[in-house]
Amino acid sequence: MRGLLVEGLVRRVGARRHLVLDGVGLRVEPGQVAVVLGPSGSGKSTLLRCLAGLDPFEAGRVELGGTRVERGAHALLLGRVGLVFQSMELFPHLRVLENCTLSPRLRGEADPERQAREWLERLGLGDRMDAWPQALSGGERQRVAIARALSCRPAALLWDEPTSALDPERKREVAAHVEAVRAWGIPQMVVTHDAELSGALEADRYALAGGRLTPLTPGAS
Amino acid sequence: MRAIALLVPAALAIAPPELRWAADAEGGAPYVFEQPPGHLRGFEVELAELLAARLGRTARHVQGPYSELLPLLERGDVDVVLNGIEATEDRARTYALTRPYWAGPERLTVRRGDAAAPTSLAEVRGRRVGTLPGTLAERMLRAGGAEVRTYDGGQEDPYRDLALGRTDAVLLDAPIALYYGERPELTTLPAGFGEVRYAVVARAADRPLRDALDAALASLVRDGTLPALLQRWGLWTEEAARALGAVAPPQDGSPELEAWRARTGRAGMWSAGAGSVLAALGRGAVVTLLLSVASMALAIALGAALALARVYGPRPLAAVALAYVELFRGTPLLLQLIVVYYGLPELGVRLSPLVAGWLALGLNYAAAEAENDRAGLLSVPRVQMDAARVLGLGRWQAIRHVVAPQALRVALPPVTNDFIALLKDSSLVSVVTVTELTKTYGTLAAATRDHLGLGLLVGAIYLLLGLPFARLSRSVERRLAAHLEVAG
Repeated sequence: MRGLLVEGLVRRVGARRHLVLDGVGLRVEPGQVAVVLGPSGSGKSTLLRCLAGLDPFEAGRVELGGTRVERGAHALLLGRVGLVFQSMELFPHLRVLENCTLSPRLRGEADPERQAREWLERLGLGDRMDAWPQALSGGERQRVAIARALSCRPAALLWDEPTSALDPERKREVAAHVEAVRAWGIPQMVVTHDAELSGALEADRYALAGGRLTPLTPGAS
Repeated sequence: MRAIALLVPAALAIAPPELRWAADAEGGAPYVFEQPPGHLRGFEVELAELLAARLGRTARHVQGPYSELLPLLERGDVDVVLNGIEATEDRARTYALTRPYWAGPERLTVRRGDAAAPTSLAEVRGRRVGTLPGTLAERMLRAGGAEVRTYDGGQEDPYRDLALGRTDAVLLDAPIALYYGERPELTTLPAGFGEVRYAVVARAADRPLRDALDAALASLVRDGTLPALLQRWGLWTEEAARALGAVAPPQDGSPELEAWRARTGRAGMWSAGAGSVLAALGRGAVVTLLLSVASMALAIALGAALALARVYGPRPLAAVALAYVELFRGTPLLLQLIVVYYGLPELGVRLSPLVAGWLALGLNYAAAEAENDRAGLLSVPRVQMDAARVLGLGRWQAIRHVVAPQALRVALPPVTNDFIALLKDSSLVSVVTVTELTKTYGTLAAATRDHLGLGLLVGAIYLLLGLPFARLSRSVERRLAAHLEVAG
């Protein structure tokens, strides 16, 4: 499959092997969006870190764009899954365009700027390419983070609390960005506790609690 | 290299072998001093040349701090030490000593017109008396119950303190008193105390050399060369006549002593000639600067590696890096320097003075740079690393392109401070025989007796050496912070 498939994901942390993810599973097809709702401490960020390849998992598997990643091989996910951090995490010492071209350039892509410029233009940042991240508004920073993630051609895009760092009037724009990415056929997962954002998206909804993922929408697997 | 190694014995067969002799030119007259700067003079310089000539060798002087002359001999850097070394029984057990080349009493110097000044050893009890460390004079003073002050910086210092009223008298070997203890404010008493003898020192295992030197000394006494030499420097004494077994030399008058007194009568930093003073300071400044830059380069490279090991390395490597930092930060640089130069040869590692100085300074400052860099690395939020990894950057790529450039902005400003500190600490390498700026100052000050004028000049040179680096770092800091100026 070209989408994102997660099966039986288990993650324990700390010296006492505390169970944070207890057999999490979900499927997101290309062009689909999964919204994961849950209170803080429910394991949302752990789930994102596992799916992005930053943290290992003790059992289960992740299938992405046709590649199966088993326990112990989580690092294979690095560079294949885009993640828009809650705090954006733009690189402050690089200009907007450089933020987006760093990874393609280091991978030795023939024209690392082409893809990056394209995404920045589409997200309305055509005239901000030479700006420093500190000079951008919150909304602009988020769009740079999206363009930066997409410039690496990820097989899936994950969002971590995308509305939490934005002004109220900017929050509505997030749904528009998610819809725009959907149009490009990339499976997405949005982790949030913002009911308004969740309601604005046409998505399968899940609740994460006690390390387990429960479908809220009829039809979600 | 092999071709050169094959050529060396052939060259040695033509040029006579050297007699390497160690002495500290900062000690001063009449032993070994520079007059004009860069040109060695002294009765021991002449004696070394005479001895070498009788041995069919050429004399080569090796500069070392007085306290390190015997370690230099043990290290094998020199063949003999010839610098007013007292022939004591202790020393005769550890080294091969020649017959004496001079003997004479200790002399007491006091302030002119000081009615309360001690006039004999019986009167030194409880008085503050200056001398040089490890000498017969010091032992005599301690036995007499004096409050002894010793000076490491050369022969001028005890007399200067006496003139300033910081001590009540100075007891030192007759030659020193003769050259430093007669001036408008000081006078040396005619009575002599005890007897000290100077001998040339060779390694205990080097008895053939000692025996050859003894024969050479005997012949120099026999043909009257050595007595005449001592007479020219004003050093002929009854004790010397007895110890050498020689009759008084015919010549009277001591032209070298008179020349010294005439020169120091109009003392001043330029009395040695402005050109040669500036040339000597220039040479010292070049050594100081090159040594400091090379050491800082080593410190920065090694420091960065240590910081990366501590922050990102596996646990054992991080522990090694931590131990390194604690060891080099927690022990004196001077100790490290002496261990590198005089201690490592025991393990078969023999480094040249410059390399030893470079290594010790570089290794020591690497600990400071490692702490700067670590503070820089820790100032970058860890999630920046995550962001880079998620974009597909490898660990080292993420450090190199994302973490390090941000860390540098925090780590750089202290580097300038450290460099200026290193520039000053580089003066310590004089203990391993490198003649850098401060050592040059000491030698010039001993020769011209102008500590203040030269001190101000040398201080200005240090400031000038450090300034360009302070400027450079300010401009680099500005560039690294360019992205912050648009904030707001």
